[in-house]
Amino acid sequence: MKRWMAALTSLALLAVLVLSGCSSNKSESSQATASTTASSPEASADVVTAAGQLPITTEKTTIKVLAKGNPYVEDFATNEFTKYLEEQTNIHIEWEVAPEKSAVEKLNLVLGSGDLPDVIMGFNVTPTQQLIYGEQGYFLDLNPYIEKYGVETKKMFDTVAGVKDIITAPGGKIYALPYVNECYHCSMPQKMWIYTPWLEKLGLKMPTTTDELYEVLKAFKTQDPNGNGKADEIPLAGAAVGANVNVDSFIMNAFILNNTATQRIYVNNGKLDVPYNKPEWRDGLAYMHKLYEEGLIAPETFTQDRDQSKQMGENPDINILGAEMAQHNGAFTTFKGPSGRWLEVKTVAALKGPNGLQITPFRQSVTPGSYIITKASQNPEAAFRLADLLYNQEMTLRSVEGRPDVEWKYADKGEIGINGKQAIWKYLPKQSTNAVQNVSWSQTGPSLRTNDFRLGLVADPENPTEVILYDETKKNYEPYKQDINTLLPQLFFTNDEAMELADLEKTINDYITEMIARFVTGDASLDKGWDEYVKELDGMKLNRYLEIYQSAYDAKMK
Amino acid sequence: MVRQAGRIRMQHAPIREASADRWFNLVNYLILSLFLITVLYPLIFVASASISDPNAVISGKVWLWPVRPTLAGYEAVFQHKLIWISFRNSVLYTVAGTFINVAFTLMAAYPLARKDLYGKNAIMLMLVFTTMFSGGLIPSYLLVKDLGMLNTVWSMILPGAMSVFNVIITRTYLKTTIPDELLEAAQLDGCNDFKFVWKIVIPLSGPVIAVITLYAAVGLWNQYFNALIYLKSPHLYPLQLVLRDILVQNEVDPNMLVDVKDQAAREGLRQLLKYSLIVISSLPLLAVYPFVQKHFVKGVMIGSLKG
Amino acid sequence: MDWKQAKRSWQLYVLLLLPISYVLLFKYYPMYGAQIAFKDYVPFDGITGSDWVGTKHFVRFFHSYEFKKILKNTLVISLYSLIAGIPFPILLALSLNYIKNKMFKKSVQMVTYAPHFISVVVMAGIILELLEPRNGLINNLLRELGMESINFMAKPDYFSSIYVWSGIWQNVGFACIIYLAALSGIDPALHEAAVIDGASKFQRMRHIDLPGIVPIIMILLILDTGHILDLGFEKVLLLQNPLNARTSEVIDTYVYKVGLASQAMNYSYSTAINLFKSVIGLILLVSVNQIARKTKQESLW
Repeated sequence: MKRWMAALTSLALLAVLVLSGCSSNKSESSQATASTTASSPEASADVVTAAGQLPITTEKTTIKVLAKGNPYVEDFATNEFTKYLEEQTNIHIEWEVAPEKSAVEKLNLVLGSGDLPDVIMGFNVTPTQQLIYGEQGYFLDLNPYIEKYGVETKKMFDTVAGVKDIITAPGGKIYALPYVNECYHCSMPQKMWIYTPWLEKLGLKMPTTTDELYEVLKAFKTQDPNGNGKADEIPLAGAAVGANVNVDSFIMNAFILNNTATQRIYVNNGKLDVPYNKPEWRDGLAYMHKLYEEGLIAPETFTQDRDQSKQMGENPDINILGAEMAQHNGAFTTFKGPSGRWLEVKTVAALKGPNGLQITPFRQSVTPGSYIITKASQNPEAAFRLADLLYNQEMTLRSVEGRPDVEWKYADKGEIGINGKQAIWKYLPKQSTNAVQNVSWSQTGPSLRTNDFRLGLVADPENPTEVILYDETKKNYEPYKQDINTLLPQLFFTNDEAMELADLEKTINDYITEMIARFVTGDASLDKGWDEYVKELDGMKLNRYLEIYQSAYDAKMK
Repeated sequence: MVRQAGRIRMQHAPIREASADRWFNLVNYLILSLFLITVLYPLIFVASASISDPNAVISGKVWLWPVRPTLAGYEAVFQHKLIWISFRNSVLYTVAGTFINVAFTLMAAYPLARKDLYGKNAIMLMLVFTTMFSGGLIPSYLLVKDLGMLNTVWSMILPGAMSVFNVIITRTYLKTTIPDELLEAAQLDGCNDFKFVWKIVIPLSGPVIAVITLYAAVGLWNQYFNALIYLKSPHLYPLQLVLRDILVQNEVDPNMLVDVKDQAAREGLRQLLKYSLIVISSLPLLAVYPFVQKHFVKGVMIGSLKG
Repeated sequence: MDWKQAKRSWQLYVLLLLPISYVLLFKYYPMYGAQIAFKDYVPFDGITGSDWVGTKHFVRFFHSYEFKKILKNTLVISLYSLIAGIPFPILLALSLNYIKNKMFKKSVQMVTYAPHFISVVVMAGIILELLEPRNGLINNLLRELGMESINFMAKPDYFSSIYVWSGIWQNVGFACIIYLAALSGIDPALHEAAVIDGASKFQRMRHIDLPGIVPIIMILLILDTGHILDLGFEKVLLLQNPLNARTSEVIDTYVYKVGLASQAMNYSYSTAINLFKSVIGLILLVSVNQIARKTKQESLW
């Protein structure tokens, strides 16, 4: 016993010594390489070259960047794109990377410990936080820099509708640059997909109205389209977890505008309102309840997670799922799965409801808060020009995809893009199957991918997903897109407003979701429970909730 | 009196004892076996899922045995650059940390187990209080930073150096297994407290030391959030961090559905990884368990010492 | 009694030195951070620089619409978990203690200890699989027995049971370890004497083993009571869905979701709520400890 303990003791001590030896070496060396910036605040502007010119600074400048970790990027410091940038701009980036999972905590800890970096990148800092810190001067107003140096930024304002508006805080200041990735099909993601072989088998047409959908689902249930003699068909299913898989996501839009991206709030001639206490909402619930009662909506819709959704859609050997509510055909079916069902499902166009409403909710693809320059920055002009550069098309390609002629190249004349027009670029065959790489920043930081750019990718028959999603969206959803004037814009709240809002929003939204489930399944009766439901919403201070939103909206519209 | 009763009873005893005990044994084995099966099922499922074909896992075909076995889930893990480094790190953090943990725990638990320690209740209260109240993330982070421990191995070992829970259960154990007579006898022999602890208490505490070693080791091995907050250099990362990174790397982003084949492969991999990660990270702890089990043997040395 | 006693036990105090210093440094010193529960913490201003707001956050929490619901759900699930969870690790340890076959004993210990390491995500996935109405194992069994399948996850009344029993199942092997150790510490002479007196195994269990581990049972009970509001949110979040929401929303999931919904910083709010939980926990812990003392059981102090 004694010998064993002595051995263990020495082993542990040895371990500790070895480890402390390792770490102290590292910390010493890292301190040695920490360079100090040469320029003083007044002289910084002199070091920076004119707008649009490379390199960005005449002398080597160091900028401290706190970035949010990206699981696909091996090491920002040694990354190929970082090296390329440094060569081109003469700016050396000193990286501090916050691991993705604890990014927000890390951000707050770093800020709280007083070590302000020059730049905060990739955290998607919310507009409210931008406002709070911007007003206190911690985040710099970028307008003067945009004016003087913002070549690419100004181009972006012109080409992408509404960007400038989205990132401008009440008062006219811009505290952060956005990450723009116009994913066309993601802008109208509330879709329904239907298994077309069953439509063919039963001689049915693609449904276009709510009544027609009802008939089709009923046929799925009763006429055994999968031909196995068992009534095991699930006409329609959704899920509790996933991208726009909820039961109301698609169907409710036939009754009233139901945009889940804006907390369901919409603009009605300058006045903000919500759909879920209106008679049309009730009608939608009644319709879905009818479907549920007749066994046309799977009960698992309210409880299942992603794995179970897949199991339903990819039922081995024989298909049992008729229609599904999802953003894309990868939620219930597997992309390139052996069953091939992912190619056999097609979208159902925006349904026309009993009142003739046929509408597709729309959402913006601008992510604010991607690049922030703090007051600690010794050379904000250089820091800004760096970000501005990243909006350049080629820079974006290098930042997001990798090296030209290695990971991607410009398309040849005659090559066709996803949108059917002359393509702009294409992928080159992947060298390794490793998800982690070190040649690009893989979507961290500001970049600009416009619709035209994304759709300018050469259409690859091996990878038809983007084409499929583009075509489906264009055909079945774009024509019914909601009026842009009814879309709730990006709002900035004050700290107190945000705090009050958080409680109300969480409670109200959870209640709506709960009651949708309960009304549709019949757990709560629409006839008897509707008035109580509306009263309950009032009790949750729905009015106050809308008031806060309205006041932020009015502030923005001034 | 007891002996008399015993002798009288012994004439009938063998039959009654045997049958009562035989029933007992039968029921005991039966219940435990049933329980064993209910526990075994999910474990087999996890192991099977980790080596099955991803499509089979996705479509729900796997329910007990592996379907179309593949080692892709494990390959992906072992191909990661940092996997062996992080494994080594976790081993070192766990060994060093457990050692410190057990030492501190014993040093705190024994004095508190003594009836004659003045202020023991106050100290107990003080310790228990720390399990209820905490200053939160920010001051702890600042403290670690001010001590210069950020991004060092010490940040993985020191902040969790002692668990009050372990101290409490060790104290309880010591109170109930070290009889006062033993202490009195030792003191009569001129043994001071240090010697008593070293020569008598520790040897007698085999079982509880085994338990707290296990609990400390498990806690340290599974450490994850500490690493996220205090570490920057990937070569200091513990295993859990790297494993979780691998999992995240195989998530599919709906905004970038460009290369379907690649995405499908990664999503499939993810299904496997969910399970293979459990197997990989828990195997070492399972392997260690038999060594701990050895110490759950009744009354190791009390008897001999009494003599 | 005081100083003389203290002086005589000087060696004990030396032993206590390192652990107490550790606790003071790493646990007590950072407690100043708890004050942000009474402030509007802004990272840039630091803890000392942020403004005092008194009980604003507590009031916000108590007045929130869901306060009563989440408090009730948390208490129900916790108490249920606490009480239901007491007997099983003990029974398992007692059972194992009497198994003579070493192979069997070691295998059972090993196997039951393993589920503890299954991640909460996979665990929730397994639970959902088992309870699936269409072809989950449980419902398949029910149908074999001629009964209707039950959509377990859709019923709010079942949530606490699902949560609690899956937790017991997953942790019983790990929790029984401490009892096994305690049983190993019981003087074997007591058992020898009992055998001579003709006691059956069952009687030995009742009169020797059980009393031998009652102290540790009591201590664990007192400690667990202190954490009664600390349910943790991951597992609940994974098992929650709109249909069982009214019984599955607990304090920690509420705080988590408000934090997500909040565009502003939420540190002070969550710190305030944690403080609230700690205070309640402490009061309960002290009360149960007092009861233990009054009934002459083992207690913390």
